[in-house]
Amino acid sequence: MSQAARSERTTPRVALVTGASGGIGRGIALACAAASWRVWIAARRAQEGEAVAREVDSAGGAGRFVACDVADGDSVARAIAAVLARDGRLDALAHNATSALSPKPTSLRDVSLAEVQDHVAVSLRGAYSLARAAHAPLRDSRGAYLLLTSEAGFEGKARLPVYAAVKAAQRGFARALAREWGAHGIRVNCLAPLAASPALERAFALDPAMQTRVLGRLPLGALGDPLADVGAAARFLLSDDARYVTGHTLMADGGSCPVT
Amino acid sequence: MVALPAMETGGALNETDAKAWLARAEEPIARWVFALGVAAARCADGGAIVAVVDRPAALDCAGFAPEAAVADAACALVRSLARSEGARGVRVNAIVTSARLAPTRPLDPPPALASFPGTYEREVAGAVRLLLSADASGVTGQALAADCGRTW
Repeated sequence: MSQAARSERTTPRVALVTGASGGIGRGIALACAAASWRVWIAARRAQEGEAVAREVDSAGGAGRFVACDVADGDSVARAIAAVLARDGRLDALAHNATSALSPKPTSLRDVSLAEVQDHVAVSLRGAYSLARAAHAPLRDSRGAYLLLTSEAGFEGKARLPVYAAVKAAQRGFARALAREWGAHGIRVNCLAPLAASPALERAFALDPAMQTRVLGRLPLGALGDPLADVGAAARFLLSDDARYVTGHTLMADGGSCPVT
Repeated sequence: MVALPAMETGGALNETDAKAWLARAEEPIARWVFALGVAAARCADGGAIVAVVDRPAALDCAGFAPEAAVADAACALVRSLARSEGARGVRVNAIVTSARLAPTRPLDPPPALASFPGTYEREVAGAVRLLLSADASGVTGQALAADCGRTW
């Protein structure tokens, strides 16, 4: 066990969450804060990200903000370097950011190359760039990498086909990376959430029938809470409580997805 | 039937630079999006579409993270298309194969059939024919592994 891993029990865990300036990313950040972690809010929107960092402070953790565009590999590398420069380690990495186009309905026949590239750049190139930049510090800490996928990646979506594709791609990526990085002591998992978030609200607004469909098949009856329902599940996968869990996708969706 | 040509594959993610990542992951996903979109536009009502997807078997996928991402993306596109085209009677399925992605020395346990990883001419073509035929009239949105028992 490395020095970093040995000291984990006595020093706060250091986490970075992308797309954490609101919604589910904010919920993950605050759940980690409740366990006294140091949490880096990696996002493009500085004002909103810094506000979440202050919420992390208030929730019992130590919040930091770093500007990060996950579609830009250099930006990702700078964000990870900022974490190491200040906190000296990285234990937990959660890639939650998605394209702003995620809730926009489209048909596979009509989608443009620019739309495809935007989805891929945020969800998938972001996953790759984060993996490349964070591999060494996660190896040193025997840490964990978590990708936020979606039930769409399991079952496909008639009106969100590219979103469903990149979410499925994240699962394949994580499954392979878990096998690749297991020997390095790094765990790689996915979490498929369903929660009341600004992104889901936008999707409901763009496709009013979607709300009826989503709520009509929920065994637990209501959308999840980004902090209590999704954040806690994410924290579990990022923590040592899940130290023997890798290559897995955990559904935190109230039983919504019929495919597991 | 929709398939992509063979591309450069394999290699640890830590050794995959940005250019290789584009070639192994991002460009093939874009190709799948547009190939399946065209297939949907051209397929007659009541017809059938089968995508032949190169996917590393789960047991053998170390070193194939970009390819695993592309494969899962393609299978999700198939399911999305099965939903959108089902109303006009079009079935959409995938055959997944590791014929072009099998490692030289698969991990134990060995594949169920000694013919692993199979060939396009025999195992893949036969499964495609099945899914395109009326014998599969109730099958849609599925990803059937024609990989000699390496995946289930």
